[in-house]
Amino acid sequence: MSTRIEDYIPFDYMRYVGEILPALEQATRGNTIPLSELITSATHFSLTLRSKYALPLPEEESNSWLWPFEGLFDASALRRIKSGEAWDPWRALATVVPTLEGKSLTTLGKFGEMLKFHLFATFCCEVPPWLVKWPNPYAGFTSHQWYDGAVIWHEEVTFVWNAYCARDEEMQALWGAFYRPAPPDLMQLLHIHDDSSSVNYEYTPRYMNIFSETEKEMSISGFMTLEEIQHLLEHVRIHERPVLDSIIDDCIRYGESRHWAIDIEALSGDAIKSEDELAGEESWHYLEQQGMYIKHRVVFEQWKKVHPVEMEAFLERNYQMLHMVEDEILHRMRFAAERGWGILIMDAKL
Amino acid sequence: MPYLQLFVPQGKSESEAQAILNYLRDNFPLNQSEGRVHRVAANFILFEQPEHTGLTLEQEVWLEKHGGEELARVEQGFWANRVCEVCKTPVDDSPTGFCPRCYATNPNLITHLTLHFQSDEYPYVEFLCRHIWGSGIESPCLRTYLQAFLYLLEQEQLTVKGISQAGLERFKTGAQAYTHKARTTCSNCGLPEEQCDCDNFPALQFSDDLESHEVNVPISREDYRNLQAFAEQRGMDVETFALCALGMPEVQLAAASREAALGRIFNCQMDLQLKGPETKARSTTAVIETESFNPGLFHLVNMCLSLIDAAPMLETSLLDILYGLRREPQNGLSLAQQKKQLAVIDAPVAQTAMSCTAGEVKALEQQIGYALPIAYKEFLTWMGHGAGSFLRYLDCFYPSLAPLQQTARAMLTTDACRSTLADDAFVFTLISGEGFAFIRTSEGDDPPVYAHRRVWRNAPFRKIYHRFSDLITVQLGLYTELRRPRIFQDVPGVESRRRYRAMTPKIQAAAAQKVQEMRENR
Repeated sequence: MSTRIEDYIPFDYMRYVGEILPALEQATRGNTIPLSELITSATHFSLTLRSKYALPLPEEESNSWLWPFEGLFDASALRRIKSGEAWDPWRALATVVPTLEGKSLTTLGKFGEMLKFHLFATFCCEVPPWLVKWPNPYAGFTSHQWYDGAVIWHEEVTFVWNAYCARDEEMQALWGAFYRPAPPDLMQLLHIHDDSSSVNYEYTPRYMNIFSETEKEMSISGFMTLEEIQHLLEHVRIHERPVLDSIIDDCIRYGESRHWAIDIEALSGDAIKSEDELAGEESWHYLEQQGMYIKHRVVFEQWKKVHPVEMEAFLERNYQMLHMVEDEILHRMRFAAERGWGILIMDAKL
Repeated sequence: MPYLQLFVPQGKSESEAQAILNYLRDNFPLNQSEGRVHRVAANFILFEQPEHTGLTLEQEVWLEKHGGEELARVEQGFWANRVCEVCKTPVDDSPTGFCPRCYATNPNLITHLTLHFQSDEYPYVEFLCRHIWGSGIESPCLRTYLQAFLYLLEQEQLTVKGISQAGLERFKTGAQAYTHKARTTCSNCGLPEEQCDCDNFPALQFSDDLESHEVNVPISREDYRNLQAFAEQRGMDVETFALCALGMPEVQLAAASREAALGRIFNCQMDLQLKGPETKARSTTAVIETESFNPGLFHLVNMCLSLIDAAPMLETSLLDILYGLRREPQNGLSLAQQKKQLAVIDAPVAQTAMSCTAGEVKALEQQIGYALPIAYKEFLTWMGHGAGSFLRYLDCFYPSLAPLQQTARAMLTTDACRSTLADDAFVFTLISGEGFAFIRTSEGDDPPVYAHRRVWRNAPFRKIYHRFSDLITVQLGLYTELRRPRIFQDVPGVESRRRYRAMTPKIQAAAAQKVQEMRENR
């Protein structure tokens, strides 16, 4: 079973628009020198937006990364690599450069896009050391004691985190900068197309045209500029404990798993409805015996009174998790702001 | 070995597809990958590359320059060289355009007719196709029925006027009764729900919430057109018209009889069964056998039981037929038993049997240049001109026998078959579009029967019966059961296990006897 992850990555968008994209554009016009020099200057390699490896690549892992790069080697080189010979991803990617001539930034082809991604990941993205080490939820399955994956490691966390960011209008306005149309000049520099009139899919104004062969179904769905980060850091309220619908839903599932009873007689009449009367987006709990529905929030309030200790402990765990995520993301924003960078949101399939 | 498969985009005509494939074959770059063209099929080309599982840079660039997906769609990570399990030949090259083993189709030759079944009919369709016919899926079995249906219409053995929804209703009623019984009978103990003591009765029964199921039946474009024309004549849509066939006993019998003539008796593929014991007898290395579960035996027992369910008359002769056990002719006649049986089963038909004269037999032998085997001459002198409805769905009677020899050989030439028929081969029946069956005049009085199917590309001729008389026995068994409307029934639960236990030692004994006979013959 797979899940979607989300991560917040500090990124140097000025270098991307000032160095990477122009070098690629020059290559499409036949001038390969800036791009070749950029490649030659690389001292490390990023396989994904949040990984960074010194060259040469670690022997124990390099073979497992080979697959997307296979097409860049000839058969004899590939045979040698599969038998253990070291390989340099930049030397491999350099073979793409001459093939870019005559293309455009929007038609780089599979290997051209691959080159663009690794240039972007290597030269423009960096994840700082974690503010606080998180215990590895997969300890026992992997050798890592501390977690080093995406800051939002599961879809469930995405729901709660997004609800937390939109808990009131002020916070929604601050965090919503990721998804608002970017300033027109920046959009042009980043080669972001205005698809607002498209009816085929949901419009994501800051969607960046960068594809990865090494991360499953990765997309960059939004970003914040330096100024927006600074504004957010200045005004954001932290460590709050709103009673979010998504948290209530979690609590209900928790109570259901413990077979907690609901005292129906203690509830007001409008809290219970038949299927035909349901309306709105509120969550409802189904009472199998009665064939009726009851508002989640009402069940939640009742269980808080009946099971105060367990409910409080459960809520506490939820808020701790939210605040842990919040701290780490703000830490990365500060890291970005110190360097004059922005921060992007990427999501991928795990 | 990794493969790279390039598909012709959809919507291209056959000649356009051919032109694209030729261009890819001649120009697609393979320097970087050290690859080679593995084969060219009707709508794709397959490259074998020693190391690369996907496109190389040079291939990617080349494709971009040549139109990308407009030219060809790339499938990466091709899992193996897909060949037919039976003939070990790329199935897409089959002259019929369809491989009944792995179900690959050639889109230039084959189209699909979609048949819809209600949820209370579909379990029977599944049972019929998978259990009785032993198809992994429903479509190849239904294809057989449609082909038989068309044959009967084209030969005017059925008239368009005679096709009515009564056949469809009959099928529906039978299928619904089957489904009802299956749903209310415990699959574990075999008892009706009210008598069943099993703890988990509901869990043992199949459930199906789908409103309808569709089966896409692969048929040739020409067959589709013909079916459509017949349907229009009858004033029906093509699906309803085709579904009518499923309840018609003529179609059932024709499908079973024609398939059996080419070696498939429902779920029993004789060409495969006949290989087993002979291989075992020849084996010079010790085979370790244990008392634990034997999957080969399990399969064989179940196949036999299923075959007996479908054609109970075969029960007494089935193992003889499968293993070709030694059998002495009665009064020197190979078909004496069969003659008696037909008289019992259907006396009027037996009385209509029209024999060939000695002169006609002689003339036939002169035409082919060989003396015919005794058993076959017995057949000719019994019913050489036909016997009413018995064997009427096979093209196997005088005077069309002599021309069959040329037609069969022409079929092999047209299909670019890698082998030719032996000089002493005598083709005694031909199933148009599918293949033919033959005997060799030099192989004894009651010689083995061989068949050729157009889809058998690698081993075009296969032994399907140990004796010609076995084929007649099988046809009698099918005729007995299928000349009247028939809904097959499943045998669940305890009874099924009892039958399994009873059948197993019989099969083991027959197999041992066969091995013994073969050793004695050596």
